[in-house]
Amino acid sequence: MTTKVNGQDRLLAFDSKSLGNGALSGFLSFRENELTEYQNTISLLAARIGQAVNDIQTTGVDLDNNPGNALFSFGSSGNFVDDISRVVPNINNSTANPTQITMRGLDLSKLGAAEYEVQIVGSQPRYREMGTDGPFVPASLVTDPGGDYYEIRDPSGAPLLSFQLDNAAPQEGDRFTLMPVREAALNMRTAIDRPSEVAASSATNPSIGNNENILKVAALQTARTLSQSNNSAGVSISDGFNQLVSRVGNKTREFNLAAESRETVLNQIADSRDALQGVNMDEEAANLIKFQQAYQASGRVISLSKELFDQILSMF
Amino acid sequence: MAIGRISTNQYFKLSTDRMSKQQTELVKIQGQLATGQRVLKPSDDPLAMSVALGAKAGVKTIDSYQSNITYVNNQLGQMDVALQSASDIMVSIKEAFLQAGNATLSPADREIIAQDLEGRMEELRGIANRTDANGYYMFSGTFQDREPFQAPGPGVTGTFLETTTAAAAEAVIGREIQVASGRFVNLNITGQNAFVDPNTNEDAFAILRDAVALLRNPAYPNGQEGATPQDTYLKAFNDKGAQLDDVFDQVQISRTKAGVRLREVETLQQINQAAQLELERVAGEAVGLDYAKAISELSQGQLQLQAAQQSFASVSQLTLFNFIG
Repeated sequence: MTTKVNGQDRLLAFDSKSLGNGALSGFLSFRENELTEYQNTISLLAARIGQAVNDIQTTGVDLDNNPGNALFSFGSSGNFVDDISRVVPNINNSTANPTQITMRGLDLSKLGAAEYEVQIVGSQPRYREMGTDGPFVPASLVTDPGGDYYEIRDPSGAPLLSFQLDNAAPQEGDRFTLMPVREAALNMRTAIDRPSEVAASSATNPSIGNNENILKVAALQTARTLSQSNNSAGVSISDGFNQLVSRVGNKTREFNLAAESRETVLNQIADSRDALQGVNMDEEAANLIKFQQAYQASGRVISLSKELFDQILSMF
Repeated sequence: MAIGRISTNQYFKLSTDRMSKQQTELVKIQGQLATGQRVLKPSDDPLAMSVALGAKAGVKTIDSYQSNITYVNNQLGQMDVALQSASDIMVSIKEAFLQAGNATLSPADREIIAQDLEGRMEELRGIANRTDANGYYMFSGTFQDREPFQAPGPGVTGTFLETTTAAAAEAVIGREIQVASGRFVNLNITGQNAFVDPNTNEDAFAILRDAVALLRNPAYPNGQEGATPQDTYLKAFNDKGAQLDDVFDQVQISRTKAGVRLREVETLQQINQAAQLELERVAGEAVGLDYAKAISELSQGQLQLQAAQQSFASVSQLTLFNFIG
């Protein structure tokens, strides 16, 4: 689908809003909202577990007395942020010298399931959360000797993610979707094949009976490593998972209730229609009898008239 | 809304709809009865499911603590047995020392005692180098693959883990086992703790080697002015005896440590069990099934479905067409 913007043909996103009501619109709406949120939550959990375990593993020593390697891998780019995130430029972005965005850093301990819509306004990136209709707000510029970058921050002011604009003159109106953790669950793999490569020992006293390092991994179960902010200590990974289960459960219940109430309405309408329009066999049978009797009665009238007529005629 | 008129189609549809709803309900109750769970999926009761998930995660965590406790019990139990044997051997060594501390012994007598001591020293070394069921040395701390006290020979000093300083030997840190929430038990009762004289940093085997050498060659070394050679020998031997007493104390202290930790984990095991029961109760209360209620719902549902089926069967037979034609 296309639409005219400033006299130019622009492609329109094939989304739930452009389709009104109906089953297809419902599927699309589910994909845009619920599915995206749940996928991102699972991905966030996967990325956080992977990152936290890898951080601990790489400070330890394995059974063969080698420095520990990452237990999980998320891709082959060699850059964790590139491996787990995705930046999608809008299809309508300028074709000549389009704006380029590169993800620079993510704080998995603070990020949520949200994706961000970024738009270039006055050469500056502005953003808003995907799926919201609020205004685009400016991303915070951070000057850095290694290249200036922009941050998206949470309401408490803590940076959630940062990105760089790769060309000096970004094109006005170019849009992007930033998916900070979209690829993590998809790309997560175990990076070691042998149990002896698990770095259970600390580096201070490497030995086969040393379990200091793996104790730190065990402590991750209850450590508050997710959903932190400047004002909150956050929740643990298992709490994060429980919240997801709870959210999916609540949503399913909500949808079930909505479906039930719609079904009731549908039934009522169908009942009203059928009450007027539908066929009742007894009614038809009764009508049949009525008309049969009427017919018989009419017949009787005719036969009686004929009899009367015959009698009259016979008198002459 | 009240429906004044019902079409035949509507009648059949309403009846089958109702019956299929009742059947769905019955299948749900059957599922609950079969699993013992009131909440079969999160959408049945999201809040209860979340409570139950939390409680079940707690139960699993305590399961790990309990299996850790089994491991700790095995390890400390084996250490305790080994230290008990070590203690017995040291008692007999002390008896031999008493015998040897007699100035009138002939060289032949001393040789007999020396050989006896050598035998007991090897026995003691066997205990200090004992391995657990998996073949790991019990008294090596975290260096479970290294023999704690090797027999001295060319290039082998025979000290604990072949370390030269006490500091290096103390470096066997990092065998903490978690046995309850926030509680760890250290399994490091090492050869350094149990078989080394803390005052002179000499291990039991070095002390015994010195004693055997004295017995075989009472060279009466550099006696003090005015002391008889015998006095000097006795003094040297008594010094070894005193050192051995220190080691004996270390063995006892180590046994006490093992005992205290064993008792501690026994208590923790019971506390864990109680905590686990409580969590299971919480999970059961949240998502578990009240059988009495479910069974009565099942029979009620059955009755309703049966009534619906029977009434449908008879009422649907009623048609005016039966009476005409």
